[in-house]
Amino acid sequence: MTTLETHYKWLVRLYPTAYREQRGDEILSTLLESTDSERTWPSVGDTVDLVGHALRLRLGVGEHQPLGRLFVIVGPCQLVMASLMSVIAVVFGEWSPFSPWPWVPPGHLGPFFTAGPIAYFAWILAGISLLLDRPRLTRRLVGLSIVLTAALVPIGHLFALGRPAMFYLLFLVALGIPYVAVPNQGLVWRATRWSQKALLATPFLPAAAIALGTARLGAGGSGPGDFFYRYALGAVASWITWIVVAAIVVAMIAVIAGRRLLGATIALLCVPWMALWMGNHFSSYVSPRDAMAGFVLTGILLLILAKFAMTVRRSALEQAT
Amino acid sequence: MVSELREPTYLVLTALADGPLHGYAIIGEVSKITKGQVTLRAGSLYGTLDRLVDEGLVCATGEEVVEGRLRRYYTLTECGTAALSAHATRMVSVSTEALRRLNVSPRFA
Repeated sequence: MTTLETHYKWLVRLYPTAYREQRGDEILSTLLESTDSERTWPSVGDTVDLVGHALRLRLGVGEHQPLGRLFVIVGPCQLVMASLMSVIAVVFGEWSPFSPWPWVPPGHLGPFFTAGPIAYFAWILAGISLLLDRPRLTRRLVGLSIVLTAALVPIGHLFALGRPAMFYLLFLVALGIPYVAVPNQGLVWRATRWSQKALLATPFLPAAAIALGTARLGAGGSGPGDFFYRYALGAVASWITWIVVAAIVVAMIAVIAGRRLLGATIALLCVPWMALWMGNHFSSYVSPRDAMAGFVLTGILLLILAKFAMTVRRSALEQAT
Repeated sequence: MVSELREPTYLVLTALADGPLHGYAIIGEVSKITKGQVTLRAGSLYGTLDRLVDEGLVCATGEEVVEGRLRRYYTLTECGTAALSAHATRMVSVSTEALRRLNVSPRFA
């Protein structure tokens, strides 16, 4: 056995046992045949590619696995949401000319109230790349956006800059994960089923509610910074709650009609929004009634997703036996 | 459920259009088709093959051991041939239209 083969075997061991038993030798052969025999170590590209594939299979988000197929549908929709929410945050939450006050807080970044736009512009670029149908570039930009969003916390500390509310940053990261988890995601409106195409409309409903609600509050004396992240988002929580209620009804009808993947997709699309309201609730800007509604709705969404996971698990066990 | 073909999928199906191929041969064929612009890596190839088998567009047809190495051959199913044909026809139609428009609208050329 050559040194290269030994090293490739280490990498193949990263795959789940069942998959390795089925495909391990075949993958190893392909790797050895496609690599220059004088090499002793796998290339960085091959290593990243194999580790990524093995990790996706272990997490259950391989392209042929149910969760992977769910992420392929949800990923582009949530990326559109993240881009829209970044545009809204830049305009209503950060842009100081929108502010009714003649001052900007300490820790501002140029005309922006916080360092948030460093990450927001990356999310907006990722959304534009998605619309231009550049999946590989989009995936890199989403990865960059997630890193920049997480980096806002240390950047804020190191350079004494303000940052958006933590729950808003976590919300954006949660929206980006399905897109980076599964490669080769195309535009959702290329899907053949009308129900998948209809999903494209979903990001615009809550985004429009937030934009309209915040603009209305803005005229009444609100403004960027914490007023947007905590007060304004809390004030429109009940609007979003009704949108989520409508989505849950559609999801339950889909589940009853045997369209479990569609039901789970709708539920997964709603989860980040409920997480946003729950995060805002702990900042005390959501009324107790809306918070209670939020907990109940989040519970229903998680039940729909658990039902989907149990069905997938059962069918996998049936296939194995 | 078969969605719109994405580039790696389209390339793998095109590579298999001439007949059954094993993993390494698919990588070589894709590189040849794209004139070396696309080099599929093993993880990406098997991710794509898993999905294509799952969607019923491709199936494994046989195995052989060459110099102690396992080769599994894949071939297009009827459904895969139809999907590839439909996608290729659509691509030709769009490309033809694009070229026609470029000719009548030289300001965009």
